[in-house]
Amino acid sequence: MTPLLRDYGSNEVHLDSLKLDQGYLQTSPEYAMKCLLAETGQSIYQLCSAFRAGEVGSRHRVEFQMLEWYRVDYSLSELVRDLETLISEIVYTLAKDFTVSAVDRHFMSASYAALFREHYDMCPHASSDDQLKALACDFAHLDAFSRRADVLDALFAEAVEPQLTKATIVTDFPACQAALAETRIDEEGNEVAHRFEFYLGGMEIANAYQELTDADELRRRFEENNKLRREMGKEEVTNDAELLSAMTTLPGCAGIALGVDRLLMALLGETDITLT
Amino acid sequence: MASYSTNEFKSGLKVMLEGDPCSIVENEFVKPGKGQAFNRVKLKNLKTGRVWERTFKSGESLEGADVMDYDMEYLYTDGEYWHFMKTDGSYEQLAADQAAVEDCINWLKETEKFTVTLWNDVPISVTPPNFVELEVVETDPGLKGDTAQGGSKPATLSTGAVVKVPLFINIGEVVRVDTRTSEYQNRVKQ
Repeated sequence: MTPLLRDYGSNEVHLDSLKLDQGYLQTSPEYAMKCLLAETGQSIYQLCSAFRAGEVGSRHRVEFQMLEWYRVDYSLSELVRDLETLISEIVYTLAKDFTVSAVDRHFMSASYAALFREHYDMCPHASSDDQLKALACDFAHLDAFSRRADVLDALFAEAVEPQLTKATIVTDFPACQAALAETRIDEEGNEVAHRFEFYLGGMEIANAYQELTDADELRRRFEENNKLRREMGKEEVTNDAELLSAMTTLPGCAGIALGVDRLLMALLGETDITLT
Repeated sequence: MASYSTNEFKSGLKVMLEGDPCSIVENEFVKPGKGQAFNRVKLKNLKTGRVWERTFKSGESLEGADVMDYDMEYLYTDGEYWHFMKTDGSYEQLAADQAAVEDCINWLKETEKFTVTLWNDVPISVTPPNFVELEVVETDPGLKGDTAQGGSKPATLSTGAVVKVPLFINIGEVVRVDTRTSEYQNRVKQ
């Protein structure tokens, strides 16, 4: 098991680590697991607690359970098959003792752009920042957002997410939401993030990346996030030196993080995460 | 007045929005993965009774509203204002205008106790008790013996409210009515 308490916090703009005198409780085991993966070159998995400061709601808890795994030389479509197998095993096991919602053996799949277009009649990749902001104002009083990634997130959460009640894989996220995933050029020539999210019961359950292995690009993204943090008046995060140095030996891999509490919510039909 | 941040929003909290006092009905924390958190909030405008849906960035705040509910006895109207008296022993009297009493004007019975909502010490709405007993002042003549059958007719009550009552109810009788639905409950024996 990788340490939950490390010297570095998450660099993500909208993730806040719980800070202790001795270090940071990890918002996900991602950084530590990638260091281990770079060292051993082996596929790994882990079930552990993750901590996110200030996240409290019917679908959020400061401490929650995350199942995360990385597969060396793996593609995202292979990872989808992992997930399908895992979910059907969990449904089978849970069904012995509980009433469990049925989940299709094979998940539906749709690109982010296709789903976005269906609801908003606009391309999330090619449209300008101003077009997206105008859309946000029209649709849901979402005028409080300024960053492109945030506007897109809010629009997606308002209209698309609640519709994704059946097991669905959403692929090819906007490039500005790549986080630690690689980017690629899609069939229409737009740069997209090479990642997918798994939805069930109108909730995001898991998040998968074709993992970025380029140290320079990672450093650039870290610095970009710190710049945004400064602009927002948030504390900057020290670049994770261990992760940056691990990137040089990180093998090509795909990784996925699954929120266990939310999966149980969706399968057991609970509406409050504290009940799982 | 203090201001409240989105993480302090809870149902029943009174806040100011667009110049009107509101009561928070529902507050949902939404955070897309690594995206910016926001709150989907339902607020009831206490002046109009309308429910608004608004989205706030998490961490935004709203000013609190100085809103208080009092039990007050309805006294009389002078045609322009409706006068109420506190029942807490202070006998303090307050005048509510047309807009404040509009929604319950047909239930205003003298000496009956109402909940009066004050914003900055001025009445903005009046809520009747869930059930009131009122005299029938106008209705078609009752039908003898027809106490079991369905059938109903309109009856005007002493406060002006018109409700459907069973056919056997006569002028001068007192009926109990649910003010939330305007439905007849039963006849009250005097």
